[in-house]
Amino acid sequence: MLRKIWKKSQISPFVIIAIIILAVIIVYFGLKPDDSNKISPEIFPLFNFVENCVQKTTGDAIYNIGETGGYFFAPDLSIDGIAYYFYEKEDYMPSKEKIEDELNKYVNNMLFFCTKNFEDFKDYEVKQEKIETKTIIEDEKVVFNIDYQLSVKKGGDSYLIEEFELEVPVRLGVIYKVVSEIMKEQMEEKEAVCISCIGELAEENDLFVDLRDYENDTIIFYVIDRNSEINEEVYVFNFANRYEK
Amino acid sequence: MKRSMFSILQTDMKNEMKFKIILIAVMLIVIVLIGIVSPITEKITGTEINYNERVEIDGRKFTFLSGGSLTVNYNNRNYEFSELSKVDFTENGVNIVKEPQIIFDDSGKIKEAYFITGKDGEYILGNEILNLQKGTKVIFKDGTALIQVPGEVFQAPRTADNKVGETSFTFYSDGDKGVKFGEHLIKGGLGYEQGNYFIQKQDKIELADIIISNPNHLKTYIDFEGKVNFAYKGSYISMDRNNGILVAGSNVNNPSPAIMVKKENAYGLKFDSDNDHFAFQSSGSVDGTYFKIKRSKPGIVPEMEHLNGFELNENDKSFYYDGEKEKLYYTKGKLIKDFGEAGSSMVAATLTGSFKTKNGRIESAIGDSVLGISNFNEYSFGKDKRFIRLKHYNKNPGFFTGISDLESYNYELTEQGFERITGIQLVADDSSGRSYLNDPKNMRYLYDLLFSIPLEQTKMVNRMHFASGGGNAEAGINGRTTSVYFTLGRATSSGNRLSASTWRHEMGHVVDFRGGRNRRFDRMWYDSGINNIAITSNYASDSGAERISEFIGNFAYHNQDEYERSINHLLNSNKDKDWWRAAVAVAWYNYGFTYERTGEIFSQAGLPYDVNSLYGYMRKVGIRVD
Repeated sequence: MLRKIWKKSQISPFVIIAIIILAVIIVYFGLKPDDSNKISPEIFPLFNFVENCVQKTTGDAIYNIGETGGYFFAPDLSIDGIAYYFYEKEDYMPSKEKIEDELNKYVNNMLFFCTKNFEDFKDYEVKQEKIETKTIIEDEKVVFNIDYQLSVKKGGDSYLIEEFELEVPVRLGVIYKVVSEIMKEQMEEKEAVCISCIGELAEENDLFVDLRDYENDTIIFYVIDRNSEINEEVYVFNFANRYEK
Repeated sequence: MKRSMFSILQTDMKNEMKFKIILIAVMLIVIVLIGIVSPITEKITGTEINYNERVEIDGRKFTFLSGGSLTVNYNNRNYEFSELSKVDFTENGVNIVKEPQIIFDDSGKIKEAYFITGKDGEYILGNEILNLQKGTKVIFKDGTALIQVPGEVFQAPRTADNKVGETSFTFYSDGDKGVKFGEHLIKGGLGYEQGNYFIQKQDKIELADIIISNPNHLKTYIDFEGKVNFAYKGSYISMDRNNGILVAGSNVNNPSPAIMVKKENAYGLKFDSDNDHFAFQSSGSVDGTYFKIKRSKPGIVPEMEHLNGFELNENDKSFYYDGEKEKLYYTKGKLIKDFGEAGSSMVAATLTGSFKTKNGRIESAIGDSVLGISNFNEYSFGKDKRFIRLKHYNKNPGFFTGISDLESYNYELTEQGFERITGIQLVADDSSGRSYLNDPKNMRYLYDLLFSIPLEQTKMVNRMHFASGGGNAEAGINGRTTSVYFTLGRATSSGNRLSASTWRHEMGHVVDFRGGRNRRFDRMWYDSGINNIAITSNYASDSGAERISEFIGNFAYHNQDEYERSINHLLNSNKDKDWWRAAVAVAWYNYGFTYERTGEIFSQAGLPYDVNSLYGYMRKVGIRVD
């Protein structure tokens, strides 16, 4: 995890120069993971708390979009909270960018509920700005860049926490590609599910794809990646296809 | 029968000279007259035909009054058509009424005939000889013969010497009560051509333990060989009930008839309700298509095999192979609608052979995978039909439920079935244990646990005891008997009252106590020093005797130890990574882990797991392996 943290009280010219030099060094060499060691002990508990919230919320976001089929809230065209990707012989699978956007929405909306307005940190004066998240789904991981500006005051000192970058090792990109292939096959044969194709795709990508007959002429697809765990659970990505009789 | 005075080639000459000239003159006149009326008599030279006086001759056509007879000499043999009578025959609602009649072609062969036989005997139609009983109705025209026998029995036609059969026969019984075909009665007509039997005219027909639906009346050959046959020029059904084999194929671009297997069948298909519905059809192609079911050995569900396209109804769900797309599909609902309502539970079977024709050669259609279908509406691909993974248990990524070709796993989730198959005695030590063992879900869970360990490890256990308690367990060995005691608490993370990890831990003890492979486990583990490094929990840390079982219990189903160190970390980043690798390899070598799980562990660390590599991990820390 990478983050930036700035102390902004007791400013003197020397401090300003020092900060500038430090900033230049940081920018020049890049932000290193062991920057956490430089966090002031004063705000470490709060920082740790936010960091845990970021970890939890991003994990929850990935878990949640797995549950719904790629959405923060399941769309209207869904069954029991799972989005239809195939309905009346049309393809409704969201684009990868759309899922990234849904992950952004999840974090932007739900991170706040984790930090709970920092009510457990009465000793701190925390001013928080709007959360802006940018998510990139890669094959082997999901990268979150969270712009979460927190101005923290404690004991006369001020600190600024600005940005969190987090990589969650969930193979969502691989899963997305596999689901895309499944849907491509689906659009070629709209009456049935190509199980030999799914078998091959699952084997090639070390995934399990479990199909369950459901009500309303629906089959729920569970794409299971035992190589990816979220919240101590194997990662599952669901979607639904409906087959007209 | 009174022979006619009239003969074409036989003459009854008298010696008296005074009549000779007159008779010759009369004969010449008659011959000339016949020649004018029926010049064909000249053209059927070589065929000897005798007929009685009650006949009309019209060209090659001989029409009799009832009781008329005819002798035909064909291919140097005489065939008596005796006391023929008027035929009255109804087929498919069409009534044919004809006076006895026989028509010859240019070569002297009978090409058309209508009669009822007056005597048992041999009759010739075209090139084929039939043994017909008295009272058999015969209608023969354009190479097609309809034969209605008075009873159930008929004899297959045979060809005249040096001749090739060219007639398509259909045999009926009087009143269509059915003609005998092997041990079966066939109603609606049984066809015969050049040594092969077929059905064609029935919309639907029962044959032994199958129902055949053929609404398009495609010629479908039937035999009792139970073999794939590319020689048939059409659809075919080949059944061998003794060996439990049923094949439906089509070597033309028309599908075979649809076949539904009845509840009581010879192929090992088990239906758990009268509604169960197992029907299939081969799609048909000039490359040859077939779908085959074969009974397995006792206790194992049947195997299926296909070449190119097929459709299979498993109750109200279907599988099919699209020969053009070369893909196997699943769909909800019945593809074959010929057999009415269906139940909702699948019939357990395994598709072990899936083949397609490519560039004239037959090759595998789904690689080396098999498709397992359970009795619980589940299906999945895998390599080992004994257990195909379906999905993992909650919070146990290495522990799966699945699909098995064991009948008991599908149909008999009982204590008795489990004991019979596994050889492990299940003992309920109290009412809680009894209740646990009476639940089919728990039996499936126990099967799943056993499927997750090496077979050699299974053989090390004799008894498993179950009783109420707080989740504790112990394994004990008494001489040659190994008993494991489990206590049942509330539902654990896997969703069952018996903790999967606890079970695996105790089984780890069993492997340890029994010494692994050739009693080498302890030497490889303790003497090498692994025991002091591969510590996966506080319990293991506190007790050296628990380290093997804790190691196995932790990593059999989970990807990290109790200190939350991941497999990847331990095998790649830990300072003792060589020892951790060796520990996994030693556990595998001594039947602690299946090869499959061992592979998963090493692949999580990005490490090779072929047997040489596994031996290499052990050798690297000084462990000698053969």
